[in-house]
Amino acid sequence: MSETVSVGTTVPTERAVRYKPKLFFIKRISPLAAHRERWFYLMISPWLIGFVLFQGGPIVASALLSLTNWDLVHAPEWVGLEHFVAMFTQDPLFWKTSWNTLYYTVGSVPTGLVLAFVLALLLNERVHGVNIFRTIFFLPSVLSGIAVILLWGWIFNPKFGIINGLLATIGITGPGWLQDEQWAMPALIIMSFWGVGWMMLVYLAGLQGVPKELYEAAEIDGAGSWARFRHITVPMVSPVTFFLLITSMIGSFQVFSQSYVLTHGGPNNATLTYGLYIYFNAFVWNKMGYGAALAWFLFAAILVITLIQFKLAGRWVFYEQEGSRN
Amino acid sequence: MNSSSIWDALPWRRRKQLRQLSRSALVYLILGLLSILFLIPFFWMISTSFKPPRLIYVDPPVWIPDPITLDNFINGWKQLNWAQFYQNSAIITVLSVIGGLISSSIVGFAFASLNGRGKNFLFALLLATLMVPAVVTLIPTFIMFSKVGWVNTFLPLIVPQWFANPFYVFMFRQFFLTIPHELYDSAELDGCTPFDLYWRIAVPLSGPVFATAALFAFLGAWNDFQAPLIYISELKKYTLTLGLAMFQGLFGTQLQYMMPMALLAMIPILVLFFLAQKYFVRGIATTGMKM
Repeated sequence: MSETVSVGTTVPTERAVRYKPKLFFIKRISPLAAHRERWFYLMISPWLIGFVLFQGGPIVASALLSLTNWDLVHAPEWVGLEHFVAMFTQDPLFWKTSWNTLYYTVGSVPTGLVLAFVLALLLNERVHGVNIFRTIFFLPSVLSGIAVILLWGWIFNPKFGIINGLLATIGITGPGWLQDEQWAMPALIIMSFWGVGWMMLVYLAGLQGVPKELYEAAEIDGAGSWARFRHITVPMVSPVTFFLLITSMIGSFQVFSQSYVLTHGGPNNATLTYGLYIYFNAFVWNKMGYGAALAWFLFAAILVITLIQFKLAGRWVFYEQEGSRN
Repeated sequence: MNSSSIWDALPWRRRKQLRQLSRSALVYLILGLLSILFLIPFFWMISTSFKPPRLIYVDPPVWIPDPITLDNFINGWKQLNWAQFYQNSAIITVLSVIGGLISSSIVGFAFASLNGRGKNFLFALLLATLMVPAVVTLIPTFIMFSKVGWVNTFLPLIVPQWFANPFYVFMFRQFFLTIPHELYDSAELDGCTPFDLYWRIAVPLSGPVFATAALFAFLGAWNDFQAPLIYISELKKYTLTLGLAMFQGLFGTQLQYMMPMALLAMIPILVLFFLAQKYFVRGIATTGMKM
């Protein structure tokens, strides 16, 4: 503590206090700060090591791997950019799986966000028993996993499942769902809506963070409930929307378990997602190099789409000017 | 706007009350309908689990099982070594949660309360890794683990969790930032190291965020399917998720066993959910998920 004080006292004028450290002491820090810095690095070392071993390292390794042919048994063979060329020119499944994944994303993400937002708005109304409803909507999202996937497979069973059972009561003959090339992907999308609960919870936290004064002021100014919703609620939770949009898109680009367990990518590759295709290439057909190339393309696509999202965010995401913290 | 003369005749206060009442009624109606939609799958699962098979394969579906039977549970349990799968999932999950919480909270504390050159860059890097899809690192990581002979052990499923998960680090940091720094200052004068500050001041104040992170970590490990699928090959090392998925492949048409086993796999999550709900709802709210 004494060191930081002495830096201030040895510098004679206020002007020097402001400018000198920036110009001349960029890398010099006091012994106390150095002591704290050592602790900082010591305490983040688990993450730093983990980053190198399980993230940074593998990303680089996967880039190199994508330039080779390797079946894990024989020595890797250098092929340059061949895999990337083959992906675009000779692999119809690459296009098919990209399309399927895009279909799933466009079908599940925006609707899921709207559903989560509507649920949060309803729960934000101060009515009795709100906690029970919150539990009902949130619970399915924590149960995600193979058990839930199997349950939905049974719900979608064309002959004995309840969806077609319910449709039959209103005189509609339901489709074959997971066994029908056209309806398999919509079935997976419908299934995803059951898991919007955690997004709802994040939205709810966002809604409860909107200052009441804003609504009161707007009401005094004569804004109706729609205007208040449109010009206060929506912009105030737009950072939450942005966060959820980015994370759920990244998640849906990697969707895997549903189609692996329920359809194995069928019927006729209708649910063969990009993530599943990478898995088949790398771990079933032992084409590690091609699998890595596919994974890297996905990485690049996610990166580009995320950057575009951040670019566009300026137009619709509203960040409140917060009081200076940190 | 209102053409109704009765409405106009009402005093203002009464009108407002009525409007409030009809609004609440509408909210209840929509919440009720949506709740039914969200509950039907659960109901269907429980109904199927307790039904005799002859009531399962019928068209139209039977909603209420009559008679109620436990045969599906008993026979389903005998089909595979579920006790072993349970044990495997439990070992992996508990060790993953412990490691994830310890490492992530320490790293989160450092990012929230300590300083070092390069901190901002490192934190940006940490946030960036949140966006790296797992499939990109999957293949090289698998090769690495196979080189050290860890394939077909639990280690690839547990060890990475001990090196801090960026998402939990972010959560912990957000929470630790809300602890007033004055609390640390006097302790520091008394000669506490930064680790003491973490262990004696920050951790005891952070129940909700630990509960939230614990739930996420538990769910992540318990529900994980892709990693066990890739790393585990021996039946006696299977996790519950692998067992369930294999069940689907092996006995594709024997749904009477699948639903009760899936239900059993959910029970630990249900218990945890209801035990910790209070904490993690608060935890999610306070960490705010701000980007």
